[in-house]
Amino acid sequence: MTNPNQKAVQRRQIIYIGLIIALLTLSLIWRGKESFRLPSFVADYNRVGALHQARRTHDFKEVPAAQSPINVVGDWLASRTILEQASRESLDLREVDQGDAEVDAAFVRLTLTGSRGLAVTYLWRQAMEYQKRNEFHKFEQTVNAVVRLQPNFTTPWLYQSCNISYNVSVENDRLTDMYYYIARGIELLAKGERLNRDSPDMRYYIAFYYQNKFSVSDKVTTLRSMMQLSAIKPSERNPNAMRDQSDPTQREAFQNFVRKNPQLCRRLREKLGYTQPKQIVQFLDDNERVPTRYDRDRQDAVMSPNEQFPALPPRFPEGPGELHPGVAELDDTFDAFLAARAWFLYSLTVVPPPTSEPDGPQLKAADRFRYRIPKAPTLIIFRQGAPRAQTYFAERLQTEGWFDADTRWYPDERADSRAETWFGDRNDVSRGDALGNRGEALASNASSREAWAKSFAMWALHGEQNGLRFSPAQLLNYQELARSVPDDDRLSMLNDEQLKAAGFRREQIRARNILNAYDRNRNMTNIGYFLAVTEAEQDPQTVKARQKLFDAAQTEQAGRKSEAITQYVDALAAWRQVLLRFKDFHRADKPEEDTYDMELKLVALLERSPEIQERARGTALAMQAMMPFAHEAVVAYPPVPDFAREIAEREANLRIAAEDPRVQERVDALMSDKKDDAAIAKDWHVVLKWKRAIAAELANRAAEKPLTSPERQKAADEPRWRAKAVEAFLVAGTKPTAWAELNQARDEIAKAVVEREFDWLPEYRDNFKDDSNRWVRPEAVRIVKQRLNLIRAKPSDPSTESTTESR
Amino acid sequence: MNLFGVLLLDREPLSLTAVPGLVMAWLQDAGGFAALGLIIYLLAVMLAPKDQPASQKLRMPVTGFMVAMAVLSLLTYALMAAAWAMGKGATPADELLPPAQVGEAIKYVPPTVHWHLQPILLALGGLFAILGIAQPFVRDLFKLRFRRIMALGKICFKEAIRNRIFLAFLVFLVFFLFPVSWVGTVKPEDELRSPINILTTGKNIFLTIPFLILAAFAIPNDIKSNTLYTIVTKPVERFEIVLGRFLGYSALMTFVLLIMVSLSVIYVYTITLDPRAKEETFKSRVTARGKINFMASRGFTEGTNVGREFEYRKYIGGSPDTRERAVWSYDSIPGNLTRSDRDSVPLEYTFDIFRLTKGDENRGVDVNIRVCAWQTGQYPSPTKGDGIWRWTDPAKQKQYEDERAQINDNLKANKYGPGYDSTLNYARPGTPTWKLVSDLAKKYGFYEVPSVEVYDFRTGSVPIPVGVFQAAAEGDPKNSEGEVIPRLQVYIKCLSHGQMLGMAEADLYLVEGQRSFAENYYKASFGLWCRLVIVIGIAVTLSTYLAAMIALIGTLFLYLSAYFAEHIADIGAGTSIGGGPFESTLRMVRGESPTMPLDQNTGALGAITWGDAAYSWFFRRYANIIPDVDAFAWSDFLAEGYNVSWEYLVVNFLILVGYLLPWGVLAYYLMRNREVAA
Repeated sequence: MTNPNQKAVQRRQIIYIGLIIALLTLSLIWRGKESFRLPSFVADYNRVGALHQARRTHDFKEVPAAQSPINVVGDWLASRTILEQASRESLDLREVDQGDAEVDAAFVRLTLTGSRGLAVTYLWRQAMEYQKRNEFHKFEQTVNAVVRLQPNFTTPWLYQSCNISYNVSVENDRLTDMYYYIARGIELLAKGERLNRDSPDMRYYIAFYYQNKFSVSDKVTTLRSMMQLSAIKPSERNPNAMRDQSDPTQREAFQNFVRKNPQLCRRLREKLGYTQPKQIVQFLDDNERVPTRYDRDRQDAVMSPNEQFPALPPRFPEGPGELHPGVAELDDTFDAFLAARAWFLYSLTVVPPPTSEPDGPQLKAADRFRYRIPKAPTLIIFRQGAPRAQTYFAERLQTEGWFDADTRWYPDERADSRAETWFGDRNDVSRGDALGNRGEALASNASSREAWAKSFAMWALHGEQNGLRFSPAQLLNYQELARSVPDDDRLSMLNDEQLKAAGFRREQIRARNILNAYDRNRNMTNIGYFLAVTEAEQDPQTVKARQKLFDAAQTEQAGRKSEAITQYVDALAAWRQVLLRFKDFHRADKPEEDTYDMELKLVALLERSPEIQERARGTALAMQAMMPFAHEAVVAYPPVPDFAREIAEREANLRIAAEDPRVQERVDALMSDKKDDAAIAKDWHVVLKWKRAIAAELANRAAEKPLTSPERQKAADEPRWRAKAVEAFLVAGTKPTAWAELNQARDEIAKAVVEREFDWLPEYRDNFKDDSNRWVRPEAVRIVKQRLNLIRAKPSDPSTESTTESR
Repeated sequence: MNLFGVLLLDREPLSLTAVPGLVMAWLQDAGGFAALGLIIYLLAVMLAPKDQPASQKLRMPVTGFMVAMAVLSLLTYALMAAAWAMGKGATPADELLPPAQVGEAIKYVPPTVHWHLQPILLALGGLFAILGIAQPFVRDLFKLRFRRIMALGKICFKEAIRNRIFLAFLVFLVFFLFPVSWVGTVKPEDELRSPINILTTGKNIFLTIPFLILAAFAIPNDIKSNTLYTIVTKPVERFEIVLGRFLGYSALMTFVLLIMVSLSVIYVYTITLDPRAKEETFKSRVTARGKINFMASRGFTEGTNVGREFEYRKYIGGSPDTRERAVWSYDSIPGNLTRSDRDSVPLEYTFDIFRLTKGDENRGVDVNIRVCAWQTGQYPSPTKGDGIWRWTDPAKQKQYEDERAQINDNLKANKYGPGYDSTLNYARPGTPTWKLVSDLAKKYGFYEVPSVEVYDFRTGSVPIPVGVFQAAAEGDPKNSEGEVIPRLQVYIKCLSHGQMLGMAEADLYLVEGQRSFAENYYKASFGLWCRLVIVIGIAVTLSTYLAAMIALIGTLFLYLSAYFAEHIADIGAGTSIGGGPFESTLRMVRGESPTMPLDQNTGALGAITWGDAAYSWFFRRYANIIPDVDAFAWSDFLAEGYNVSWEYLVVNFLILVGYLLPWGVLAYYLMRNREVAA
């Protein structure tokens, strides 16, 4: 039996419990938890979403009508719950709406109880101090703490990732360390991106770091190779499995590694000079622990996207062919540019869609909250990241010698010793090419031609979507419309009636604005250059010429100078045809400078040849003989090198021009000319000389025993042999033959033809008065010579010489 | 190339040789505060009303000794002031550091003894004041009973275990034992270094906070809960209450720290480390460091400043023709280096490369190393463009070169028999050829490494034949003029064109031997122990008079100030950019840049300068009472694989005692004069 006091206590307890349950339930509803949603007859959640959007845009026209009066109240209440107000459709305030949420970091933030700013300031200062002292491991830990304490503040992520990838990485001389910190900077930003899903800047700069650090930095060859190691499974690049080259199993493992990764191995062999298997294995050993995407402790399983390096964007519909963390294996073609391309494209998914309208995208009210404008760079440049990355990718393949599907790499082709032979029998002392066999041929599954084609397509699409590229008809149409419209921005602000009063139509103003934006943006983005380059480079003719130039450079590198000269002449002649065909490409600055660069290689080879040296010495002697009074100046400033350079330059130009089809056509015509000997000898003595020489040689070859000199003379003048000589000459054509007379004859006659009839051709000008028609304009020549330090300094006054003292 | 840790030593650890200087500085600083305290105390007693209760009078006794010491102290300070006014007996400028410049970092230099009138009078005055104020304290020390202190100490243990907040903090420490790889990517070489840093940071935070709370709240809680009233009714000395709390919490802290350190050691020994990390930091190297100098054709230089923000290192230019050298000098040769059972001593170095040209991809710079005993003096070639230094004794140099060439010829001709290399150039320790190298080095006191490749911030190592150290240890090191010269010198030359090589004193050393990593872990934790004892000491002292929260904040402020000691020293020395508060305010009002010189025509410039000087003076005094936590920092030694010498720890303990003693005396007076009777 309870007394009244106890009853009162019990009553009070029941009331309290009831209140607690009621408040808790109410708070759950008020918070808007998924499991406590209002029934549909009370709240229509589709309408609730529309209400959120309407509040954002202050435009309630698109909100559907409520189904019942209950719904009017219910929807309003449902749209005002804490969760709904903070949700993605409304204010984007929830951490999960911003990106991934980190429980541990959130816990630390809570425990700081309002002193987060103080802690972050202290840590930031400490981090800077560690960086100053090069205590990078402490620096990195501190930076990690700073960014995680304020995960949705994007600036520290951007600043510190750049700091690590650039400033910290370059403090490390050892490239393994440098690569590690580049990777850590990128990883940090990728982590920030996961926590801030809609940041275009973060996505863009991840791509930019990939592209920039692996394309223009000083140590790019090694860094690229390390990047590839990151994408290869650790078990496949285990140095211990291929260290002992005397063990057949290990040697085979090495060979399989090379077969699977020809691009990587070719770069290591040809660019870094790792010609022996043991050097390759040492490289693998030194970089065994590079950041990777595979978990070595779990049989090389692909790690979770958050842990992988190279960090890749998730799959997204706008980039169906792009790499993503789910790809089981990245092949030998993978490089930083492909990663950059994926991130660049991914960054475009959160910026407004492209438009050719100059006033910017006309977004629907709701879409204004879907997209963000990046802080930097300007939007039109921001948008061209992906085609730019693709262009770098194509350039990379081209520079490394992967031109088209038929390209093969012969690792043992230039092996100088057994130790440098990768695939031949280790006991076989001979080199692959000495046996007439280039050794094992390796192919890559990517080629520069395909990459250039894709690059051109991407640039073209980018141009079309952003008003940077119009068809000629379209452009003409806009120009016609805009012809009478002055370049005055105020016209755009006039209404239709005012425009009519001013004598214009709206479409005319639009055309003027489009053309203005077209000019401005084309200048800013340099898209004309990229279109011209990619269009030319994708062409099979260009690819072939590029391959010839590459082969010539390889031959030169191998020390076979005479062969290299022939290859360069042939390659440059082919290159000249490419430039003639693609005028815009020819006149873009870089191709022109590159052309002169390549020509200079030929000039340098010729300059050092004994023949040119002899001619230069002769010229110098002749000059001295004519000007004995200039002896002192000649001693102070010997002219032989200058003469040699000039003669070599002329010779190079002459030889290249001699390969021109028009010259060759004329050579054939001259050779076939049926004039009498006297007439030929009068104008073309060289033709007659070679006609006779080839005829004599033909007769000699046809005879049972070698002909005597008088017999050869006789045969040389016989019409029968002369006709056969012309035929043999024409059949051989421009192809090098084993018959020296045919090669020499064509060269000499062609040179004579150029000198007498095509002397404008070496300069490539159609008009002598106009420098713009030169093969390489003087400005490009000057830039290249300056860059290569080829402008010889005059002897300086001894009194002005540097007197820096060695301490 | 081997990889090892890189140790940055902004300040050389304090060794026993610094103790006399430290004692003198302590007498001057602590004595100054003691004199102030003594005068305040005596004035308080003199001005106290006559009719106060007997118990109050008992608590504030004044002895003749105290008065005499106060008089002596004041007299000594007066003499000091007179000498200062007359400009007599001051420490000469060449014994003092050059005045600090605005914007320059203040380099820590341990105090030294100056045998001049003014510093001696200052120390003497301080000594008298300390003796005077400490007299009742010392007298009452004899009344203390260990049994009672122990009993009070035990309470600390019990209370701590009952205190859930304390236990919660300890639980956090367990999280720091999780492998670092669980929470992020770590460079293979850092797999040991990073956990050690994290563990140290964790222990620093999660041990300091609970013990600070416990110590600051203990006595105020006793007063609040009236337990103190019960205690003081017993025959307990009041200082025993303070000491009981201090020792109790210190013992508890020691116990927790020991457990944590032991768990950390077990953790470090059980985790799987990358071989690179093991090779780099899982060791405890005992090193012998020399003094660095930079030399060039014109003699001693300061080394080149390449403009790096961190001015720790100075640089020498690189070229085969350069005459610039960095020279490490050793005045003594540790016995370990000359032991007959070893044939080589590793010479380790860490340099910073400042590139003026891009250099080759993935290649460091080349360095020439010469190790010379005192018998083999070196000097730069007088000819410009000749980068090879000469021996002071050319005949001996010729003899050395001839003998070396002869040995090389013999080796080439295989005259020494099997097992020998064909040249001395590539001899490695443990080979018969190395014995020839060592004998030659001993005979001439000279060994040269012609060229070795070094990388940026990568510690390299070259073996040096023990013979050269044996030669250096012999005889009396004097030059031809009879001047004492270093026993051994190591000359470093950068051979690579267009590169600068940066180095500081700690960047090159000889490895005497190795000790156990676990032992080093415990030794390195002693520094943390000292810091925690300081925190407990300050908190207990302040809590004897202040409210718990005030004591906690006060202690925290004082302790955290120690982490900004450099900035405080800057303000104290008047070298902060933009001047003191008055000058800075003026600049802000005028919108002037802090780096611009102040306009000398400014009105009230004198007042501003005086105000800033007074402010600096107060900051210098404040700097005197903040603990020198940097002196107890050993985690970098541990993390980078260097042995913490016992000598350093002994000095640490002396500093700890020297720092806590004045706090103890203060606590004694505060507790004695506190009204706690009900």
